[in-house]
Amino acid sequence: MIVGRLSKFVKVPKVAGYLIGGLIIGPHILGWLETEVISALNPLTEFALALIMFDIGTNFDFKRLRRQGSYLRPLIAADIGVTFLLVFAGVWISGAGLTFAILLGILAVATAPAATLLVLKEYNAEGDVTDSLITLVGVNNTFCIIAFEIAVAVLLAVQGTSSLITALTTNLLSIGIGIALGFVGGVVISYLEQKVTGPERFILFLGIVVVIFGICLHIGASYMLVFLIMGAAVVNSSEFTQEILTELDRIGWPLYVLFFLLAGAKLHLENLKTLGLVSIVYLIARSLGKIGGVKFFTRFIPTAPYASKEIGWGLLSQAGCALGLVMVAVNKMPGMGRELETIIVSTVVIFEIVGSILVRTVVVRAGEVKVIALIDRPLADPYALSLRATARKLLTKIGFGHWERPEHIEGLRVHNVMLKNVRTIPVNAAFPDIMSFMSHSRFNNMPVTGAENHYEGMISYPELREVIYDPSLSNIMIAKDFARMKDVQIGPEAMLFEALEKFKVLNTDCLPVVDHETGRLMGLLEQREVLRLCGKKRTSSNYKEK
Amino acid sequence: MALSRILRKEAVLTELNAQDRFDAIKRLVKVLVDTGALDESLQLLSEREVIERENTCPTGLDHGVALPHALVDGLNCEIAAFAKAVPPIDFSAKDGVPADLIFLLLVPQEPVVPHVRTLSQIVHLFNNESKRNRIRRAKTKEEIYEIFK
Repeated sequence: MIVGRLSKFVKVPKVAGYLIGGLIIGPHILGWLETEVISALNPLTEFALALIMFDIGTNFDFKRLRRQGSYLRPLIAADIGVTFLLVFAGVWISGAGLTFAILLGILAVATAPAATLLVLKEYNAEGDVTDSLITLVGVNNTFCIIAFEIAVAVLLAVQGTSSLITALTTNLLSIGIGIALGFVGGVVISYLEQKVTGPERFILFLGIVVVIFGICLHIGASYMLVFLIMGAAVVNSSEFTQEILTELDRIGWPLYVLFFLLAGAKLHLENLKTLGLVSIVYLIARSLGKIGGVKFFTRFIPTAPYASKEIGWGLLSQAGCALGLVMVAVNKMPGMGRELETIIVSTVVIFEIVGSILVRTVVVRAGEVKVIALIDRPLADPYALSLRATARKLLTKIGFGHWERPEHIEGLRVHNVMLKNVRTIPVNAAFPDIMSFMSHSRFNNMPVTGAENHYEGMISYPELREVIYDPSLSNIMIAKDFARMKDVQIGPEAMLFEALEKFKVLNTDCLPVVDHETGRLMGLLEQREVLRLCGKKRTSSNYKEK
Repeated sequence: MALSRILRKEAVLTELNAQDRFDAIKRLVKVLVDTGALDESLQLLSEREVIERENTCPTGLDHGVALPHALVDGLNCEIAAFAKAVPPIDFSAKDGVPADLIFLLLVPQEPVVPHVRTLSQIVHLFNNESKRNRIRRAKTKEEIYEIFK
């Protein structure tokens, strides 16, 4: 929770916060999380990754993919093709062997599914760029898993460890079984979900995924591939996908927090000191491939959304899939496997943390994140104030406390109780500045003023938080464009009970006090203060009566 | 959602020769009145609101685009007019390029969300270099309108 709050404060995704938090409490810095504990929790983190892959798989709705296909296909080709080629060429030229360069090129393609998806979920990102990002991550991970398994099989055969036919058959069979298992699992979920209702539906889902996860571990199938296919099978055959995902989000978060803390704890910061030439080439070539490849090819796709040229920045994070495949390489060909592991483990520190921050940047810049996700401020609820007043009234009726009727505030005028030193939003304040103003205000509505404090209207926070924050509007939308309710105001000489009447009918926690002759904002009248005064006045008048 | 929901084909001008940005705004508001999109009783108010908004903060975007807009009391729905200015008019854009593509938008005093969505849609359209070029190359109202559709 502390890490989550801190992350929001410094405006980085919680995922990055958890990773850094894990890194700090992990064995390499503070040592609060020991290596043995991390290893013992490995099955949990693998299960979390399986659920994340399932979630990503549910993005493969064929109907939607057909609609996006015209620009997604070239983007996928650019992401996979350019990244592979640049890393392969860079690593090979820098002196590594041909086979080593091929394997590293394939690994470079994979984007961390967990970091990407969880950042998108944290910010409730919605839109073409968000959908494209998830699809690209799903496809590049699938490519990476299949291509890597096949490449390792071929390389072993070439080295004479096994025959090419046997190695290929074994690996293709393993991939085929994985795909079949995922597909059957998905269809079984869709079928059985119809037979049950309510909470039973999610319990059934969890039961099936645990069984399938167990089968994957038992037969050695790639659980990432299996769960991705399972998600795709469910979304295309079940009516309850959204229901399952909502429940999954609810119970999954603690698991995901643990996943990232442990992932952070596993990061080897000390490896950065020993980054070799190949690691540096890998870092640069992979970044260029992902960012530049997509950007370059988007020029030739007229149907691509404008912001999709920046998608490559959101594909940089790397962890789960690449690390998992490296372990496969270590087991099957220890010599080269260890060399691959050194490079991937050392570069993951950078890619995972920086990559998760860049995912946020991409969707925010694409205008697919609502203001509410970017402002660290709870919503002050005017209804809570009304509820408190009602409760006080009820208590008075049954003999506790003192509630006042409006006549007891007779004689008091608005200017007697208004806040005079009020912070206002300048009429020409830009969109980001408005968000900053609102995040520091305790009111739900904030007054907008022009020259000589002329009142221009109010900006409503409950309304603003629903707006999609589009950075391209930063220079075109100013406070004047957001200001509404210019007529909702009260004069300084108005009686306080008039204000009370206005508060009864208006959904606002404060009223601007405006001089009707000059149009200037004189102050702000708080609903809370008016309600408080009702009680106070009553108490003093009671004493007078006595 | 297509911009054709707020822009009528008749409200597209292929050539606007205005003295300055305020003259351009007045002419575009007049176009809205002439095409029946804006009630005549709201003409002066609309002009005043857009000019006041323009004075508060100029609406010139980069790449020769301007997006004058304002909230107008009494309006029922969003309406727009578009013109290609010949010669281009200075809208105090940050890149200093005078605007030859002017999109005027009037919005009612409705909730903020749809207003932002529309502006966002317009800005994204004009951010697209190929669309800007197509509009600049277009000779007729119909060709321009097709791009906004």
